[in-house]
Amino acid sequence: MSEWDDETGKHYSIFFNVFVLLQVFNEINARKLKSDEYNVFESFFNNKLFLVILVCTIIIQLTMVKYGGKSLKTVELSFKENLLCLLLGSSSLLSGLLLKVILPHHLIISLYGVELGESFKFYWKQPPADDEKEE
Amino acid sequence: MENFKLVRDQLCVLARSSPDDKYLITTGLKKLDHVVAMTGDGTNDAPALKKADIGFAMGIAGTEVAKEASGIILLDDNFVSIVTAMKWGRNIFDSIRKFLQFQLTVNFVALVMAFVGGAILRESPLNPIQMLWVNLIMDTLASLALATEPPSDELLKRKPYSKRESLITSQMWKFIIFQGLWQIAILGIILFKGKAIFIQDLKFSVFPHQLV
Repeated sequence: MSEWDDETGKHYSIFFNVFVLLQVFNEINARKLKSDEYNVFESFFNNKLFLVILVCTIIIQLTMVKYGGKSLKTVELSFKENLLCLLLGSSSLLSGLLLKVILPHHLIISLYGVELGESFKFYWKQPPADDEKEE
Repeated sequence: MENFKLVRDQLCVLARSSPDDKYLITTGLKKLDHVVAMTGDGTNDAPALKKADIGFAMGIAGTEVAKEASGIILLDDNFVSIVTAMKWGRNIFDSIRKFLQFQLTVNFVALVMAFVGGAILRESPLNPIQMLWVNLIMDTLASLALATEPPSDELLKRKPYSKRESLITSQMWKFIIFQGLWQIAILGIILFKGKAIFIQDLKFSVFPHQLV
């Protein structure tokens, strides 16, 4: 990187922090894949390892940014800024929910989908008429 | 084959089926693109067990030949174990999907941000060590976290997947792409407008952190 002072360092630290935290919260999103499973926290506390890893990742991330120094090109962030990063990061939870609600069911995106040999496709599936519904 | 098609819709339970029947059912269902599991214990069941996608052999009553030909051996001769096997199998499949969705989103966003940063700012906003942390350690932990999800009984209620079911469903593609776009939007704002937003904070905060 060209010039690395407190200002750019801080800028990129926040960027890095938000990037990682977005992924961490997206990890929770990934627990439920179907479009009708809105509650990603269902049986959240069944898997202790998941919680431990989630908390550990966040702690390690914040510590890394704090003590990263020159090798990581990060600077220490204030409590307020960390909170802001967490807030921005958790927005991926919100968007995950929003996407499940607003994205239309008839938009089909698939790579080598149902029929073998089909390459990437992107189309609208007509909603099936009632008498044509499968079984 | 035509006759088999007629029969299979009504066929539910076949009592006292001979090894030949088993073989016939397995072959027919496989031809119709079903996933077939077959149980058996005798030596003459071996062809059907071999032919099926997954063969279950009896651990106690089964002969050596049947065990050899099967994919899974039921050690306690209990059919309930098949349900358990199914539950865990489906769970593994789902776990892989969960991890794929997570991992692809991470890489999609990282790729785009590195490219945009490289193209516009002439430097990647994420430096190599940060990328290593994200890709090697964080993703490994995440895969561990997502893969250890215990199976729920919900899994048994859904229909079986077809053989040609794609690993990444349309819903997952949608999620990966739009979630990725959302994250790129947020990170893009931070990258290009971040200084303007955070710089006020900077002026008022004291910086004890000295660079070595």
